[in-house]
Amino acid sequence: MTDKVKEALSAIMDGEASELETRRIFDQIAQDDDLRETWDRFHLARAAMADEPVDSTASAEAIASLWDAVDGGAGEESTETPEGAPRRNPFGLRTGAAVLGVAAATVLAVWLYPVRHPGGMRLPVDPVAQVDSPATLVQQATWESVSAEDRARAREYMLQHLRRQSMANRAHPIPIAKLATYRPQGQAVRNDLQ
Amino acid sequence: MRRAQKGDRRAFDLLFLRYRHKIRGLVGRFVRDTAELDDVVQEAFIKAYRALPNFRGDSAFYTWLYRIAINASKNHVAASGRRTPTVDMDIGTAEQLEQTDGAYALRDSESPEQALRRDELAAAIRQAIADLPDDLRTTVTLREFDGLSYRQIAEITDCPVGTVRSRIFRARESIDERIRFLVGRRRQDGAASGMGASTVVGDGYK
Repeated sequence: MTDKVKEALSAIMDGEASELETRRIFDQIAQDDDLRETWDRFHLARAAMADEPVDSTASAEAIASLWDAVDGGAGEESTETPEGAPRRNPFGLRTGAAVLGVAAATVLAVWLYPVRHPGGMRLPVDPVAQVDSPATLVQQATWESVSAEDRARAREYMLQHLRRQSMANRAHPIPIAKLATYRPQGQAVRNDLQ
Repeated sequence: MRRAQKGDRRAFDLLFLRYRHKIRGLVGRFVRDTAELDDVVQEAFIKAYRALPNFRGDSAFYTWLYRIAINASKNHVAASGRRTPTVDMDIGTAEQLEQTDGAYALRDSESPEQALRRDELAAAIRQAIADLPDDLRTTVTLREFDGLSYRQIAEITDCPVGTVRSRIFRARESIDERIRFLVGRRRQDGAASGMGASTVVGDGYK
């Protein structure tokens, strides 16, 4: 271990070394016990000067203790991310909004499609096939053009979906399949063909 | 970092080596008892290791680790508040500690033995600094006690930054020579007695 290397250690302690130099030195630290002990003692001296609790455990021991604890299962239950850090919620706000959008658009498609075909003839509606994208559907009809009854039904359906989704705490199946049969009793989708 | 994220323990060892002392200094502002401090530091690193696969690099690794350590410290302080204090503290000392760290005042205190070890080590270091040549003493003092950057020290002492870097290292090396044998002896004592190094570290000073 040369003085040059130890000087670099000293600079790293002060945050005055480049990232490249820091990486190079830490590659050496991993293989050099003396260098590691010097690193520890430099910090011990600093802690004592700063009136902080002095670090008495050598890094090698601390590392061994760390892995013992990890292998012993310590912290296994902890999946928390630090405050302020983005959480990886599998059903986050964005995903929820997207599902809600698709649900709303699909509801609109099912109820509005016949209205857009004069003569009142009801076409065989396949909600999945009809939906190009929520944006397309929004262009086809606005919420205001939907009857109050249908709006209430759509709201109720979406609320049901959100409730189930929050209880399950995971992505609830997109409700298109259910939507095809979500009609007042005796008024199934297939009946619309008549 | 990427290797550590994939579960490479040797890569995580390097992160541990690099940041352990900084994190310890941070946690030390909340927890004074050495054994508890080490536990909280270890807990923070374990949490970081477990959560590392989810770290997306939106912030610097140290910033992320720092947050984990702060949370671990706060949790420890909160838990300590429910325990019976192990060290008697007069109201004056308690108020002083409250003022020192604001909302997260220290709840744990060093034992008399720990305080003695630290004081004795500090005394040895002070003596080593006093024995340094003027240029080294000035430089290391500006760095360690005033927290100035190398550039600021270079301006004050009117010398190149490289010289500042070199002087600080030489000062540390000189201090290290004074404390090296003490630290080594304490660790040997610890190993011989079968006790953890953290327990025995100060025994050489008794």
